[in-house]
Amino acid sequence: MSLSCKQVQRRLSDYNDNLLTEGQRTMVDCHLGGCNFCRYALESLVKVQDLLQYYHSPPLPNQDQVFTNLQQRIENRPADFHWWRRLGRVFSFEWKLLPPLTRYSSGLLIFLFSMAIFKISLTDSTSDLTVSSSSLNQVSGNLALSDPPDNSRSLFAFDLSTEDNQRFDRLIFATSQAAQQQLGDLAVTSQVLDSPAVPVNQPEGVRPLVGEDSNEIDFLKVGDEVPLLDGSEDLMVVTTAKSTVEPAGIGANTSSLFAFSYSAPPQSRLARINRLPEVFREMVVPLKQDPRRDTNLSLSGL
Amino acid sequence: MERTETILVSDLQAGDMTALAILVDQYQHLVYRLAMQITKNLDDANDVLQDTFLKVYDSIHSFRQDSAFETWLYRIVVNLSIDAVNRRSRRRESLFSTVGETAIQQEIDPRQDPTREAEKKELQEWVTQAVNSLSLNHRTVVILHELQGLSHPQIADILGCSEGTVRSRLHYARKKLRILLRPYTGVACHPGTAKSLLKGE
Repeated sequence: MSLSCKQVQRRLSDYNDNLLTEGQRTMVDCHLGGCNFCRYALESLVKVQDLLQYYHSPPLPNQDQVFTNLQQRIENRPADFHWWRRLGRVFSFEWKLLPPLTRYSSGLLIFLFSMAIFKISLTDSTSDLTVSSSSLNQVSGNLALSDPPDNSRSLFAFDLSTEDNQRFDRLIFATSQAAQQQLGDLAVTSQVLDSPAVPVNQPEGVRPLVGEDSNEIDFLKVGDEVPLLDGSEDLMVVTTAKSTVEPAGIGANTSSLFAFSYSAPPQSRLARINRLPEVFREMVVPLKQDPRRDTNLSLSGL
Repeated sequence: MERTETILVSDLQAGDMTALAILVDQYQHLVYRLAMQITKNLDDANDVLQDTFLKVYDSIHSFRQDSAFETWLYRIVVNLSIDAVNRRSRRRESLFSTVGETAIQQEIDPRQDPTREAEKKELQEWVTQAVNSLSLNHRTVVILHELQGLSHPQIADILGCSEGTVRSRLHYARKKLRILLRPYTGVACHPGTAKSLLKGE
């Protein structure tokens, strides 16, 4: 049986690598003897292999630095990493040695088990975090909320000219303090100002606190200087001081600022911490929409 | 006394950092070259180089010496390089060929015949561009087989695929390279055809 050019071309790569059986090789040889086209194809294939020696790859720069840099990376890793490494050794196992069905079944079982554990821990954490419950009859004045850009900070600033807003202020602070105790890594920043709050006609929804034309809020960091909303040249500085909002310290037209910041929280808490701004927002928005509505303030949603 | 690779691996498993230093010294050029060839990016190649030896250090306890350390190392480099390429393409960053650019920037050696050196440089540039224009799967197989000299079973083991897949990828990669490198293989073809193929036209 003779091979067509197409069949030979398909086998040329294997022919060149000596991967054909004796019979196949003989048939290809037979075809190549009488076909210039396929012979040229084989020649060009061999030539391509020769040409590949010209493939250029730049040499390694700073070869003396490779081990030094590696050593630094190893030494600068967090201490708990080594704990995981030791654990990894205990559980190291050649999964490839298992038959595929056993391997996949084991993987599925481990996944289901992990999900069950995760669900249990989630349920527990929810009950742990129910920290405060109260109700408000009315919130007046203006609220400005921010959407966190990277789930790292959230900002609330509102007019404390009414008693209800002051109560709300105390509640939200108490709630955040309780959250701080639960979550540890949360830093609560607040500043109560005795300067007059702005007699503002803030639009519905989000109002920029910094910047005049933007519809986006510029998010604040500790140490930032924030212009007051009344347009004066005075600046308020976001501090790290944890101040409890004392009713006596609140002036008639006081603004309050809360910035929640957290840096490098452990992964186990990250999801809960990231949800904080959303929870606070969920608490505040209904108060805006229906000031007379009773609202429970709690972090049970975490 | 010179330590064999088996002893070095055992020593590293016991936590001996000098063993790691020797392994890094022995394999850093291979790892960098392979990472550079697959990722085509200097930054990615440097990252892969560091991450590879970090992974060796972290996972050496799981390495059973029933296979060659070099094959295991290849597997790590190839996987990390493929991850780097995929990450970069997900970020929609351009996969510009720094390999090709570096080849272009090479100085011509004044001690050699300038015409010959210029031709060699042009050839290097052409071949590098041709290989770099292959898809990631095809390029990886060509690099491992043609440039690193690994066998089909070794490549299949490294890539976690069948030998048939390796042979098939190699067949299609060579077919494309034959077209792209026609001006240099002696088979009649107008260079413009290959140039337009290189540009993906």
